[in-house]
Amino acid sequence: MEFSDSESSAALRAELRTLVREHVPQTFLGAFTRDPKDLETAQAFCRLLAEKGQLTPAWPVEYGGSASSQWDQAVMREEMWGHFEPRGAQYMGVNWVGPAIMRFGTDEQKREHLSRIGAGTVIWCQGFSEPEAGSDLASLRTAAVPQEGGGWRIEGQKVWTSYATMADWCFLLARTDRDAPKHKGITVFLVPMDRPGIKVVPIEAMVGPHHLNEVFFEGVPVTEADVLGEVDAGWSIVREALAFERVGIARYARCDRLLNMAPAALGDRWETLPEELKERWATALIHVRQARLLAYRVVEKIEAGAVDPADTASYRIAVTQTDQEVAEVLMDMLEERAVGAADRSDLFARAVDDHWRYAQAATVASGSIEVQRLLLSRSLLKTK
Amino acid sequence: MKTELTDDALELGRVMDAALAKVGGADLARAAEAGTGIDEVTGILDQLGLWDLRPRESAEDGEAAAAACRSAGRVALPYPVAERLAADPDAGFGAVAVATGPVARVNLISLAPELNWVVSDGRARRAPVVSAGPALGTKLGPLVSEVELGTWESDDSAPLALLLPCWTLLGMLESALDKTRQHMLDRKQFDQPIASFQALQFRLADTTTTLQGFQELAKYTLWSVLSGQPGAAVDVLACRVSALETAETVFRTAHQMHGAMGFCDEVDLSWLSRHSQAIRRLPWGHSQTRKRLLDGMATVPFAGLYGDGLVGAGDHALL
Ligand SMILES: Cc1cc2nc3c(=O)[nH]c(=O)nc-3n(C[C@H](O)[C@H](O)[C@H](O)COP(=O)(O)OP(=O)(O)OC[C@H]3O[C@@H](n4cnc5c(N)ncnc54)[C@H](O)[C@@H]3O)c2cc1C
Repeated sequence: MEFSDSESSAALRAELRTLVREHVPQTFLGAFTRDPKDLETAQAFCRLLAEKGQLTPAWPVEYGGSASSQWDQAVMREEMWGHFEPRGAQYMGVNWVGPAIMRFGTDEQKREHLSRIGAGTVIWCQGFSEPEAGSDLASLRTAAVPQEGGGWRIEGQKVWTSYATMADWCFLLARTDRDAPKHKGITVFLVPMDRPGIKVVPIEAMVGPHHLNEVFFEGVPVTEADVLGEVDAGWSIVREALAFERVGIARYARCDRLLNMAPAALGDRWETLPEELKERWATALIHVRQARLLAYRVVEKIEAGAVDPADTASYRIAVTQTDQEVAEVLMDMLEERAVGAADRSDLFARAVDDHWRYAQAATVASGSIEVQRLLLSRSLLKTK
Repeated sequence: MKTELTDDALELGRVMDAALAKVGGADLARAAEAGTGIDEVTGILDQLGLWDLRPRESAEDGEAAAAACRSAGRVALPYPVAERLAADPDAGFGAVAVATGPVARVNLISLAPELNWVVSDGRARRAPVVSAGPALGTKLGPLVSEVELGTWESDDSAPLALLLPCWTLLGMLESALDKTRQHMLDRKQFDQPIASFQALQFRLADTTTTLQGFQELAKYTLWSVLSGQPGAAVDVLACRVSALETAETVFRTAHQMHGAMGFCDEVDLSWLSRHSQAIRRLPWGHSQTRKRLLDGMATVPFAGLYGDGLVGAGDHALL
């Protein structure tokens, strides 16, 4: 066995840390704030990564990537999340929208989208969830109504759509066949967000700005050219597309960084903490290490071509709960500062505050923990 | 990065599982409590060549040793496999167990008293066992004995002596959860297998996740010890904390899902559960192990992605 970074992974890690140190201000706590400068920082950082060939290293060479190993991709996920995701919303385009277009897109769509995603100059949003369609996504109702003379008009509403206010394009799911069983009759449309009839309404929420929006579609025209893959084949495209992102966010990396920072950040007050809290801190470090190892377990299986949705599910169950455990430990350690930093320069308290709020959604966003438990237990209980 | 045991280690595990299953599996533990069957066990272990392994000298041997401990755990094997593999026969001791406290208690010693046992203090000293009392014969520590110790001297056995029993426990937990999964499919209530109830499915999923986390940590820690990482001394304590947490979770789930049947010595779960106690309580339970971990982290790095885990040595970028 060998659990240290390979030479190439170690070099990549060092390079990414240098890039972050040199190009991301120390005060950066994520792109999704009320300060437009944070988004600008992220956009500039993406362009820089693109120039260095580090925005889409996982992509095949023919699309401008370097077909990097799964391990290098894991390093990328860790370093980005550990440093408050300086790619902002780009990870979505890079991680699965681009690969889905490579797999299912027409030549025209590939020309239109891949170079721009690869250059880090375009933001995508994911138009899946609806007011009545959450975990049961296939019950979505947003309709693509066929028009005389071809094409459709989109009628309906999406919700929880992250980054919709800043997005240029939407990866949209709509129902093209109302009479088909619910998993059939869904189509993927690639729709520019400035098309007439699209209205975005931000939702005020504890997770902070930009994460949650409503998107209304009123008679939005779409054509065959906007369809990704086959009409009515959207469900299988989505399943395959999301499988490109098996490991998802490396939440454990930020947990690791914040926990390690805590003693120094607390200074003299570390000594006055109850022993019990310090022991919770030590336990949380163990759980973070385990979550990282479960991510590596998935990566090793992907490398061997033998990954199963159940493997991802157990990692997700572990990492999302660890994220929340770490959030609670850190908040306890902040004591009275946990209800808010009095001073904007108190970056540690602000980072913990942000971590706690976002961690609340860890077990709901992108497939709730209950859905992960269903996936895992079904696979375990399959009669062999 | 390579997160799986060597093929040789995995193969040794498979062969040992098969050999032990052939002679009755957990029935060997039943026999041992009745005071019989030990020759059959030692015969099999000798044949497998376990005692030629030198974990202190070779990482490959260390991985094979861990796999052997796991197989022993799967049937709650009544023999000190981990204690023997952690020892150093060339240095004159054939079995080592960590024990602290006013009265040293050692598991499984009565089954192989001839091995020149020593006790490690879990840090850097060992003392020879000069005499061992009879096995306690209690429900939860049937094969534990109290021992008297000679003079202390310096020693480096602690990492392996703490870690290999975690691998034995891992085998016990894998076996207990496997049997639970099968029981969920076999047992019918309300005209359906109890596996069809979502409450139980979710609990199985959570318990499996906990167990997988421990499996991965056990491998990581083994690598850390065998390759002499700077943090090995705290890594083994972290691994033991995880082992104890996981054991609590797995056995709680296993007992709950088995219903009354799980408490009967007729089913293997009862044996695994009872025999796991000696490993879980000796030398230290959960809180004591966690306290030692925290103390250790003041001087030994707990390696992570950011900062080396020395209390106060983290990344200062945000300060
Ligand atoms: C921060 C954040 C960002 C998001 N970004 C996007 C985005 O960009 N685009 C997008 O399309 N969506 C987005 N989502 C939505 C996300 O995908 C949904 O929240 C998720 O799929 C769950 O759906 P729901 O919120 O409607 O909960 P529901 O499905 O209503 O679930 C409520 C509760 O019931 C449980 N439950 C449901 N079904 C079962 C079952 N069969 N068995 C047991 N329990 C069950 C759930 O696990 C949950 O605990 C985002 C959500 C969050 C929190």
